[in-house]
Amino acid sequence: MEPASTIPKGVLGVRAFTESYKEFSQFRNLSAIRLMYGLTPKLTVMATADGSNHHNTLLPPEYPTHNTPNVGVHHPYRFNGVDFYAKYRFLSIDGQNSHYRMALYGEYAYLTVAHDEGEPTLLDDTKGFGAGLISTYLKGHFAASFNGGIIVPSKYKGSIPDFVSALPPVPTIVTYPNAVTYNLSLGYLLYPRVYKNYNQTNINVYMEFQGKTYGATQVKVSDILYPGNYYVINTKDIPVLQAGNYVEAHPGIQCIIKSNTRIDLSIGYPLINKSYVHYYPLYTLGVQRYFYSNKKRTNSGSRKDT
Amino acid sequence: MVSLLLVLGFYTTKAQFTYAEVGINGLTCSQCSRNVEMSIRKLPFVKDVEMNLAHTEGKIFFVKSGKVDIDKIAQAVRNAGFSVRYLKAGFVFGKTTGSCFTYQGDTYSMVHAPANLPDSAATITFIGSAYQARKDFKKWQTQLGEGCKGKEGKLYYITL
Repeated sequence: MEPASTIPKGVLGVRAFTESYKEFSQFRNLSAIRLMYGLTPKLTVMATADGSNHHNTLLPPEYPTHNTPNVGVHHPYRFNGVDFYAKYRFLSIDGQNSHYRMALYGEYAYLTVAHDEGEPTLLDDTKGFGAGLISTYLKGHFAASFNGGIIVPSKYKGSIPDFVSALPPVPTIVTYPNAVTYNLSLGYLLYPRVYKNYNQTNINVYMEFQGKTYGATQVKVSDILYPGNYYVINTKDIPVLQAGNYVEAHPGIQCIIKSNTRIDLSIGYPLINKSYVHYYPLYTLGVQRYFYSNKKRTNSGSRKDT
Repeated sequence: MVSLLLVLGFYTTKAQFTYAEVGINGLTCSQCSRNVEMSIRKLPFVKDVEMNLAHTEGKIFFVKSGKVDIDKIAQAVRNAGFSVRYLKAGFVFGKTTGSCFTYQGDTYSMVHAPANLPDSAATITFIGSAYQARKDFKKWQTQLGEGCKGKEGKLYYITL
């Protein structure tokens, strides 16, 4: 989850992260690389490219009345798409060893995969837009961050393979619902107790609560007799296409080595209801580093008091 | 020997910044401090930076030649995403006199100036919203006076 703080101006950040879970006999994985740049002290932009074995490029045969969701099916690992994100910090209240920040973000994802469940998720499942507000407070060893946003997914326009192979595929439009996201992150710096120099490894423990509420999904297929005329499929008995909401808990640990390289590991569990787009436990691992454009630091950050 | 003493005397009376100290607000981790240090190091007149992580402050050493730009130091802290709690500098007044003086093309207005400026290096504190925490600047706002008339370059309010 992104905090309200932004990347320093002129600094490039690179983040690689991966999410994995077991889906019956299949091991599902999403891996991504993200480039982040501080355009101004208050504006950070990011671009993320990711791949996964979550989806096919087409919806499954007989969608949505059968094979929805397409559980335990092998999908080859493929490039999903790209996500663009911008964050603007509009409020900073700084104290010694504390700060309160607020930021607005906007996001756009372009994906090339077919998402057979209803819940919209940018970067992984659906293309579309997102926006929201982030609020972060840090004091001493304690951190809290709240992120509230919306996802406005784009429709999927593709086709379903007809179960009669001799027949042409059936043009299909899937209208994913809008969603509201709400995330709360609580963190605590375990070590060091007192900062002395940059070489001390920072160890933080955190708990993230990630939630989402979304509406029902509409599926329309083209009339075989009258191509171009679409009719709505009744999806009332398909749980993954109904409106839903959930909250997950993601306990995690974060290490920052030599005040730059950041490694975080978390495991996600359902807390209230569950998400249909992944199984649990959901393992997430990330590595991040900043690259500065100027000459290397020569000190260790350990100036003695004078 | 007399010539040598005269030469030494010339260098000791030349006005100059010897170092700067900046206190930074908003820092909550060593990576934050490192970001500030790297931002300040980009400045061409900066030779070295020593950060005190525990007290969230840094000491800045300058290259021998070139103009020291105090505003750019404050901007470097903001570029890193933080704010200045205080900005002080070690300054040798040299032959400078009076509560208004110019140095490297800029004007300095000393608030509550003593009758005689120090003969040796002294620490000056910069007054302004860019160089202090808001609550500290509020205390000084009504004491700034009219500044210096006929100012040259930027106008800085300072105090000893």
